[in-house]
Parts: sequence; C-alpha cells; structure tokens
Amino acid sequence: MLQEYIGGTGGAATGEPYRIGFAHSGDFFPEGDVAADVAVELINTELGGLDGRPIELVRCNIAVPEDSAACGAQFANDEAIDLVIGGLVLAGPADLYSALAGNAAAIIAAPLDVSDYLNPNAVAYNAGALGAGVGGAVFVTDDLKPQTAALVVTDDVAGRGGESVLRPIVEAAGIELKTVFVPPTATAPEIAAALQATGAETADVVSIGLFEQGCLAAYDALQTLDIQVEVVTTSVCWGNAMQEHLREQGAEHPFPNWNFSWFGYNPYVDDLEPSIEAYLTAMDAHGGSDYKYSVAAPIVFDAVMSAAQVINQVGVDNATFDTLDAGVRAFTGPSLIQSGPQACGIPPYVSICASEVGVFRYDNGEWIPKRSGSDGTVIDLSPYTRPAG
Amino acid sequence: MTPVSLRWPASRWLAAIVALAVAAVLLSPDHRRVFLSGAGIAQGALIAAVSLGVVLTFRGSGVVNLANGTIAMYAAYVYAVLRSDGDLFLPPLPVVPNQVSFGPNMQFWPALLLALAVCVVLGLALHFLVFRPLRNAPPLAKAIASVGVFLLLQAIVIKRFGATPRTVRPMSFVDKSRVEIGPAVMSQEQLFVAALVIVVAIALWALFRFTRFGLATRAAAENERGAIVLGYSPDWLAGLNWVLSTTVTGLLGIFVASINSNVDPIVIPALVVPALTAALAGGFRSFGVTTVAAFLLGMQLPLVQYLGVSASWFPRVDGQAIPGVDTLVPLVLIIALMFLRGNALPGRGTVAARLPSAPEPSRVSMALVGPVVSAATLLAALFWLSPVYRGALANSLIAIVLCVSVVVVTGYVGQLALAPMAFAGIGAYVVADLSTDRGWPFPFPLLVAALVAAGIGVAVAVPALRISGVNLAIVTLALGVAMDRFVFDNPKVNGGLMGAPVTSRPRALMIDEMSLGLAPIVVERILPVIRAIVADTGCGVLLVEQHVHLALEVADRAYVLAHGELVTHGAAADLARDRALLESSYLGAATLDG
Repeated sequence: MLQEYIGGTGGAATGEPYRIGFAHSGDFFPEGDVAADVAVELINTELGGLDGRPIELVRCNIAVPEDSAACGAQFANDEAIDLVIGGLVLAGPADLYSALAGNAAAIIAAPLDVSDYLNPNAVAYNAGALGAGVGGAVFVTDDLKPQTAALVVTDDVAGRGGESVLRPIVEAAGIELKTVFVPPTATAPEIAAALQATGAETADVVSIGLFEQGCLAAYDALQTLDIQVEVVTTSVCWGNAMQEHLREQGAEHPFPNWNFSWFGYNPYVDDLEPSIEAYLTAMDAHGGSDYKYSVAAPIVFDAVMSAAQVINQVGVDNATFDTLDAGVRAFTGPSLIQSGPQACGIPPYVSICASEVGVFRYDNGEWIPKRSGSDGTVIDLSPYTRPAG
Repeated sequence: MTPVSLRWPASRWLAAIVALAVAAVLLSPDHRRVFLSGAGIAQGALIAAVSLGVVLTFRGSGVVNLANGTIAMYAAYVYAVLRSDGDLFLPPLPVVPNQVSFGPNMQFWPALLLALAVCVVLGLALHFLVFRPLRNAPPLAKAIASVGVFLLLQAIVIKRFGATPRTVRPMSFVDKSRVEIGPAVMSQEQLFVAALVIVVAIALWALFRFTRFGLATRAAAENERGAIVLGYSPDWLAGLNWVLSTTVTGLLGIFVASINSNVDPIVIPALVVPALTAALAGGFRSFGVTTVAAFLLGMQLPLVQYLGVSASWFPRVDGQAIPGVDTLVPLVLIIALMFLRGNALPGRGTVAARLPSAPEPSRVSMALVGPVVSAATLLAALFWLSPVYRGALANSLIAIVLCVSVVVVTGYVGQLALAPMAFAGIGAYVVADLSTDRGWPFPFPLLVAALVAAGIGVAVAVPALRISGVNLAIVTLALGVAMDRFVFDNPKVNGGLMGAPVTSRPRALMIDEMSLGLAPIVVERILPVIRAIVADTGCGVLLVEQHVHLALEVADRAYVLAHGELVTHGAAADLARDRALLESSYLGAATLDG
C-alpha cells in the first residue's frame, strides 16, 4: 500500500542520497523524530526510495523562536535541499517558512497556529489544530446540541486562534460558551480551577483544548469534581500518556468516555482504514511501536511519505524548488491519515489542503464512530474554513 | 488606657490590607466558594512546597535559590523513572553510566527513598561544587550561580527525556478520589500534600527553633564569625542545610508531580516566581508566614479565573478575560513588599555586599576611539552590506544592546536584571503601536518606546534598588513572567489574527502612508517585500504615500492629487523625470499596478 502511495519501485534504494530538510521541535515531540526515521528507513529499504535513490533527512531542531529562523536560513542556503518538512514546530513557524520562501518547497506536518494556517509558503495535508477545533465545534452544535458549553484551552497563539474560530460557530447555534485560557505551564489544580470557572459543573458540554499533560489533569479534575457530561476534545488526549495514566489509575478502560476529533479515521478500531493499518504496521516493524499512537508520529510519518510521493511524481532528477513547489501545491490527496480529497491554496487558510474531520466517541470499551471518514458521515469543514472557496 | 499606635511598620499595614482583602472575599458566598475551593488550596500547596525550600536554603546558606523549583522537578523525574522503569538515571558525566537499572515496576517506598538519596547527593554536590566556592561571594553571584543550576538541571532532563511530560505513577496510599471539607472539594492526593506541606513547615519551624542544629544555623546566619567562635562550622552547617533543603524540596516535588500525574521540565520550575513571592512575604525567615502566603497566592488563582468569566468589570480583550492577571498578583506583591519593607531580603554579615563594579577603560584609545570606530564601521556596514547580511548584522546589534543592558545593571548598579527581553518586548510593541496604528513619524515611536520601557523599568526596579542584594533579580523575574502573560499574550497587543489580510492572497492590497513613522532602513527593507507580494500573488497595490520619490520608484502608474482633485497621472517613470511637476505639485497618491 505504501509503495503504491509514494509511487516507489520497491526494494532497497541505492546511490547518492536525496536531501530533504526536517525542522521539528524534537525536544517536545521526540516521537516525531522516531516516525520520520521509520518512514525514511521504510522508503530506503523497502519502497525503492526516490526513483531508486535513498532519502537523507537533514534535521534541524527548533526549541526557541530564533531556531526557526536559523533552520530556515540553513535550509534556504543549502543548495541540495529543495524540499523541507516542518514537523511540529512550536516556536516561530512563520520565520521558518518565510526563510524558505523561494528557496525550498515546504510541507507543514502539523499546522498548529494561525501563522501556519495562513502561510502562503507552505502546505499541510491534514486539517491541523484548526480543523480539529472547528470539527469539534461543529460536532457540538450539530450532534450534541447543548445549551451551555465550557471550554478550557491553552493560552497561546494556537489556543487563542482556535477559540476565535470556533466561538462564532458555537454561538451562532445559540449555545452559551464560557472559555478560560490556561497557560501552557498550568498545574493540575490550575486546570481544575479553570474547569470550575467555566461552569463545567453545570454545563451541558465540556470541551478541552490542552496539551497532553493538560488532558490528564482535566480527566483527574472531572473525576474528582464528579462532572459527568459530554466531553469533546482532540486526538491530543487519546495518546499514549492518557492510556498510561488511566492504566496507572486502575481505570477499567484505556480511554475516558469522551469524544475525540481527528482527521477522519480512528486508529484504534479493528476494521482499520488500509492507510492507517499500513502506518501502524510500519511503525511496529521499524521500531516505532511505542510511539505509533502519539500526536506527532502519524502526521510526521504521513508528511514524509507524501513528500516522497511528490518527489517521485516530479522525478528526482527534475526536482527543483519550482517543480517541487508546484508539486506540493498540486497534491489532491487522499493522504495516509487524513480522509477526503485535498485542495491547497484556498483562502483564507491557504496552507490547509484538507477539509474533513472525524469525531469518535469512546464508550466503556467501545469506539463509536460519530462522524467518520470511513462511512461518509465525516464533518465537512469547507463551509467554515473555506467560505469563499 | 494605652492609646493604639498607628505607627505600625509598613509590612504590618500590608498584612492588614491583605487580611481585609481576604475578609472582603469571604463575605461574598460566591467568592468564598471559589476562594476556598480545593483547586486553590492544592495550588497553594504546590507553591508552598517550592517556597519552603527557598526559605530553607536562604536560612542555611544565604543563597536565594532560583533553582529550587528545578530541584523539585529533577527529584520528581528521578522518582518517576524509578517507578515506571526501575532505572536510576544519572547525569551525563565521563565514565559514569547513563543509568543504573533495578528492574521494572519499582514500588513506591523504595523509589521514594532512592530518589531522596539522590537529593542528598545533589545537595552535597551543590554545596561542595557550586556554593561553597562562592561562600565569600556577594549574594548576587550566588543567585547567578543558582540560575546556572536551574539551566543545568533542566538541560540534563531535556537532554535525557525531551520536554514531553512523563507520567508519574500514583502514590500507594492515597489516590484521586474525592474528598469534601466544607466548600473545598479536592482529591485525596491534594489533601495529603496540603497537609504534608503544613506539617513540614511546622517541623522546619521546630527544627530551627528548638534544636542545636537550628540554633547554630540561626547563629551563623546572624554572624558567621560568632558561630565559628562558638564551635560551629558555617561550612558544615551550610552543607547540612543544602542537603536538608534538597531533600525537603525533592520530597515535596515528588508529591507535587504526583498531584499533576506527570512531570515535565517546565511546570514545576515555573512555580518559583510565586514561591519567591511567598518567601519574600515571610522575609526569607518565617516558614509559617511563607506557607500562609503561598496558600493565599494559590487560592487567588481560581478567584481570578472565576472573576474573568463572570465579573462584568473584569478587564477584557476581544470579549475574553485579559490574560495573565494572576501573574500580576505576585509581581505587585513583590514590589509592594520591597517598597514597604526596607529589609525585604535580609543580608548576611560576612559576605561582600555586591559584585565588583565594571572597570573603566584605562586608555583613551579603549574608552573613546574603539567604540567610535566600531560604531561607525557597523553603521556604515548597515548601508554597504547586502540585505541578508544587513539583517544578520541588525540582529547582532540588537543582541549586543541586550547584553550591554545586563552589563550596565550588573556592573554599575551591582544587581541582576532577569528580564531584558521583557523590556525589549515592551519597547517593540510600543513602536509597533505608535508607528503602525497611530501613524507617528520616525523617530518618535522609537524615542517614546524607549521612554516607556525605561519608565516601567524604573517603576519596577526602584523599590528593589532601595535595598541591596538580589532584589532586582527577583522582581525582574516576576516581571518577565507577568509581561509574557499579561502583555505579550494579550491579543490586543500581539495583534491576534493580524496578518490574515496579506497572507490570504488578496486581489488588491491597500497601503496607507507606508513610510510614516518607520526608520528609513526599515522602509528600504519593506519595499522588496511589497515587490515580492506582487510577484508572488499577482495582486494590485494601491499605495498612498507622501514620500514622492519612494512612491514613484516602486510604482508603475501614479496619480497626482491636489486638494482632492486629480491633477495629472501617467507612468510613474515619466512623472519621476518631471522635476517641475514634482516641485510644484502637492503629490498625494501613486499606484503600483500588479
């Protein structure tokens, strides 16, 4: 399946490596590095590489905003690099892609904040944090239809941007929404206090847009405060950390009874989509088993595979900035982890090529596909993210 | 009858004001419910856990330990890894293995004891390798060393485990089940840690009040030479206090991480700002006052969050509560404490008061010629270099200015400011607001921004400068955190979704008075950007510009308006050659067709 996806010839790649830039906040998301390694190893050893040539991933770690500009300059000045994958870039992504403009085509593995969504210099093959948030909001308005909703969200550019996009959707449906922003360094009691401040104890729906540790704290607070309402969150909360936490707490099931939004498919069900199954199998076979359900791994794996597809379509000998930039923008999908067709460059969120989000409810040991890309019930984001498109 | 004296010490007035504020909060049922919530009490316990170690370290060794939260975090990592993997991870040192494995699934008590043993070693290492050599150094040098310890321990953890949170297995004897005490609803874990913090505070008070060790430590703090005469070694006392401090901090840090269910390199170290505030309230001496202050700081947090959602008078931006008000509370308290209490941070008699002053250059060539030549060369390079290198040089100059600001404060005032980037950020946002939003011409935005940043700096620093020691370091640390949340995270300041109009591929872009308020060199750098937008997007640009030569330089066509009437129009290049027209006309508009 993956060989067909990248358009490879199969077998081991040989010859001079083809260099691809990879800028990523590896300190925060080491699983993204693992997934990139798995994808490259797979492409080089089994899928035939890029027209037979192996990939060499040139890494640049981004820990602080200054790193983004430095990584961008490094890749822009490297004449052998015409394509760069931005993994999860937590600091200053706009500087990275601005530096690459005109020098290297760019794929955003995880569009996280407003500068990512609006970036004309790069493309993303999943709906990103924007899609997950908007999808969750649409699910709340269309499916849950509450009167009141409580939202606890990280106080950063991504959180503020996401809230500003989803609030009009929720309020247009006549739902009273109370939001509390918590700093990324919030402790568990701070998150518990935020939940109480939003009126979560009496709200019909609680929505959580936090980092992984915030998900755990929110779960604990909801348990302690005995808040038993519909919870809507994103795939950030269904990763390894939550499963481990619930196991440590002696919970009966590995997931809380929440609704999780992701990019159309559910990686935990038995009847997996072939592309998701291929990803999980690859991670198992190449040492990435411990990280396969993390936030960063699937999207980085997908980005590397999609980059390989574009390069093979262009032809590695024909790969220049111009051909690759046109190639990444012409991507029509579907990608491995994102359901639906893709179209890049549609305003206002010009970098976001995908327009679907699924929602999956976990209910005491059973996954219920509320809105799935596998059965045609997936949420179409276009009316919200592409109003003029 | 003895008349009541109104001549209280200023700090007592402050305590009275805080007590009145708390009483006012408790009068309202809603506010009382939120203020006494379990979340606030638990947050207070977390702050107290870090602040007790701060006081302990200061009493024992005279060090204002800015790394105390990081020590708690480090101990929590040791414990968490032992519990989950059975591995004792070791710092990256030559010939030292990365870890010692004890087999998986270590139980609670062995893991706790082993982690505390690591804390003992850490305390000894900090004493013998870092702070004992600095025994006679000024307090500022010790505070700077503690910043180094902060960065080192954090870097060890990030290098080893990354910055992602690590799950902490629950304690064996308490869990997260619900406990209700009056209006407070909290988990068993939170209640346990809150109680433990109070017990530790009482135990520390008793230790320093009633034992020979405590009395000796207090004696050494008052007069080290006197302690030596009495037969106590200040070194030995300091070492023992360091061990006690890291062990207590580590113990509480482990339980703090258990409350959070995970540990990462950021969350617990970030508690050091409110912890320092609480320690300051306790005069870096009183475990009791410090603990009470820490709980109050924690309990104000849910109240601020609640008011942000429910109170109509709460300051808002874009309909949402203004961010970071809770971080302003420690800052305001620190400033008030320093202003009202002259001896906010008690000194220790035998150590030097301040760092040596920055030496003045001895030769004229160094004092005058060197800086003038350097400045002239750099200024000239700004005009000669290509745009890429010019940008790099400009960034380097900015970094030099930031470094020089630290040198000025440390070298000439003898204190340490930990928020140079916050002041730079304040200046940058003021420039952006005055030039972009209000249209002030160059160079006034720069001058006013510098004045605003300087004014905030003076307002924050003056209370600290009245007294010696590391007060400025504490107040600027709190300022940096508060500015980050209150100002830089504020959508009204950072622009929120600004930028969307340009990056969403518009068909037309209107620019009004582009050069107004901007430095010529900035304008010069913007022109290629506009050309690139036109080239990339094909959009048309309507530029309204009084800088005639600039407009005609970039425009394809130009329209000349006078008193609202179109005077003439034509190709920009043709108009640029018509000097008579330029000199006689009032030029109001030009366009660059895409």
